[in-house]
Amino acid sequence: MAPCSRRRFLEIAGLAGGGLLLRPAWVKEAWAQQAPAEPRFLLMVYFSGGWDQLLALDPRDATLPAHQYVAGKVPTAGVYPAYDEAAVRDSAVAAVMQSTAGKGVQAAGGLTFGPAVTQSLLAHAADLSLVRGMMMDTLTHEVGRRYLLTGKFPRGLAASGSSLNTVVAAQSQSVLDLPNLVVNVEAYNADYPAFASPIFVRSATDIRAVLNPQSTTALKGSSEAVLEVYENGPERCGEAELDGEGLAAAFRDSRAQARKITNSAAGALFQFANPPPNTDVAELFTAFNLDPAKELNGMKARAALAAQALTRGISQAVSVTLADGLDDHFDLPGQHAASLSPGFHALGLLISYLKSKQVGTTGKSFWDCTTLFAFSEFSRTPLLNARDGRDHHLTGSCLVAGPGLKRGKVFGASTATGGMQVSNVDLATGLPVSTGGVSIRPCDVHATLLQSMGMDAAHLSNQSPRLLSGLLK
Amino acid sequence: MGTPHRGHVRGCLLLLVACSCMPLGGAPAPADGGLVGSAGAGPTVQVGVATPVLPLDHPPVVDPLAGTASAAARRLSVAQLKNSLPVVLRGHAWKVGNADGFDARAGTLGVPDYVSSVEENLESTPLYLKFMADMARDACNRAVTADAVQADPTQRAVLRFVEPLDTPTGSRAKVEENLRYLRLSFLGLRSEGTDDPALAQLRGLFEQAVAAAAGGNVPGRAHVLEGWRTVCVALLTSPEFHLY
Repeated sequence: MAPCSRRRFLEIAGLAGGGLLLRPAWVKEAWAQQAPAEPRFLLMVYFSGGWDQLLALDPRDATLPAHQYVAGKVPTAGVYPAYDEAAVRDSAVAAVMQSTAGKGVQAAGGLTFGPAVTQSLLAHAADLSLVRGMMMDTLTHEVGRRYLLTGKFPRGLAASGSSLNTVVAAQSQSVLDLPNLVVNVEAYNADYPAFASPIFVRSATDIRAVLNPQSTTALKGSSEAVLEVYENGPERCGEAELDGEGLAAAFRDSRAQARKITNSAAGALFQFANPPPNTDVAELFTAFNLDPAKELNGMKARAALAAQALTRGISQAVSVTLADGLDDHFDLPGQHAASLSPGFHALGLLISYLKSKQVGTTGKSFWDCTTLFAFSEFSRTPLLNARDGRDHHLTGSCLVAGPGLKRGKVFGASTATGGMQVSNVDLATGLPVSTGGVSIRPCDVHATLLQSMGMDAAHLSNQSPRLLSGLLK
Repeated sequence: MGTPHRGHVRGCLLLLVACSCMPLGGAPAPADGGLVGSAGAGPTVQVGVATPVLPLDHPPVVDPLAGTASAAARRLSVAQLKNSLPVVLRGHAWKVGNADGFDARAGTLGVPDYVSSVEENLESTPLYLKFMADMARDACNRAVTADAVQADPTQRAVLRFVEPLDTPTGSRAKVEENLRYLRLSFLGLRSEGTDDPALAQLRGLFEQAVAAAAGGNVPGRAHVLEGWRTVCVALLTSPEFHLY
């Protein structure tokens, strides 16, 4: 057995601090050989705070006695949709209750949605699929969020592994300006090259700051050329002393990548201002019905930013938060739908925009080449608490779509009784089974999405993921 | 922190057993002052300066990072950079508009706001390096421009041992001394002798930057200052400046 100091043991276990961009050879080899031939884009949409899936992706018929307080007793199914209470405070929910004869369940594209899902998203229901009854294994915001971002259960609160957007950007071997764009959400690069590292922005202003050099005159072009040769020269002794765990090498990689990021022509695409300064931006604002006087910091603006990055050759993978403040432990009926609906509306507009734009000369729209993963860190309890809110609930759901996935499919289910628990399912059909089934986990969803994109999921091997084969084409 | 080696625990137990077998007032101490088990009592554990305690069956320990000065390198935080820059550049800082650059770009650089994030990501990401490139160019431009009109060399940040008219060929010794000073001031690295490869690389950068700026003509003041700007940017965007 080879000698192994404690330091070496920690290196192998990947626990040593500082070497955050370790690049194990087996990872590089596995994915480098599988870059998909067709363009593949990823859109990850995060709803922050833990959504009420009764209002969103896993509704219940509010007219059924099992979902109502009868004679003061708790609903026998352990579920109280509270749609009527929400309708009193939210006119959009009230309109849905009216149109569904009080049930609150909206049917579209073979799927069912809660009353907070907007018409703009329902218009695309036939292209979407739902995963329900997903076991989150946590009720902690940070843990749930990071679990869904990376497909790996976090270590304490710390994310484990790279987020899905990083994996896709790396395996696409993307040469775009900002291959992995992240808008107001976390992302991680644990072991992929620097070019796939997430670029974090909060708004279009931030993207312009990223794409434009602060000054084009601080150094002459001739000096920049000489400097670039110097930067790419042999490693110096001082660097080598700092490179015990690859940190200096990673620094050099990132420095080279940073030079490629700067593209002031692309920066013009993100001049979100009032009035819009060019026809590109004006057309985008029109498509998203964006009022630049009031809505440049809202969810539609974030969706427009994501759309621009995907359709203008800037990014391969975009992650964006389209709803905030969903952690409603108090007075949920009074505010949750109002926080949730703008996110679904922005997502619907984003899908419409992706459908309207062609990918080069492929004859396909960007939507035809995009895989969607919309999620929240967990769901909320199916019964209201003593403060008219909903607390955290283990059974989650998510929205998926993509060229490698079936459409109009519901995969998995929460239980009809017992308060929306996880149902074990047959992975080949997605239907609940009483024996022999398994529960759906985030790593299973990640592996399935990657498989649908023709990409490798070996990085998830320590989670023992199972493919949701009933979702795959 | 890892859990104790089982081998380590076993070694300690064996040591206790060996000590309990020692004859009272008997065996002579070894030359290095270590303990010796009684003769013929089975395995002994020699403990001393030359023989550190290890489990008996432990293979030799080889440090794979032997010769490496820094065992656990990490990147400077944004706060450390913000505080360091005025020290290195004698009061000059990075500005974005009228604001301090580190404050203006704090969110994008990953500085925690303690609402949505509580810890800073200290990775040297492309995004981080892009903004550090902006920082270096802006700050070095300010520093060199100020140095060019500063009569007192002791108050200069970059042109400490040279004047704006000291060209690479005409004032080689002064250029060399200034480069040594900059490596020590910016990076904390001392260049000894005349054959330091890192110093030679930096000297080459300065010479090439001046020549490129001059475009084949005899270098003048503006070209020399451009050379020092380039050297300053190279130092502020080097791994040795950001990692420790």
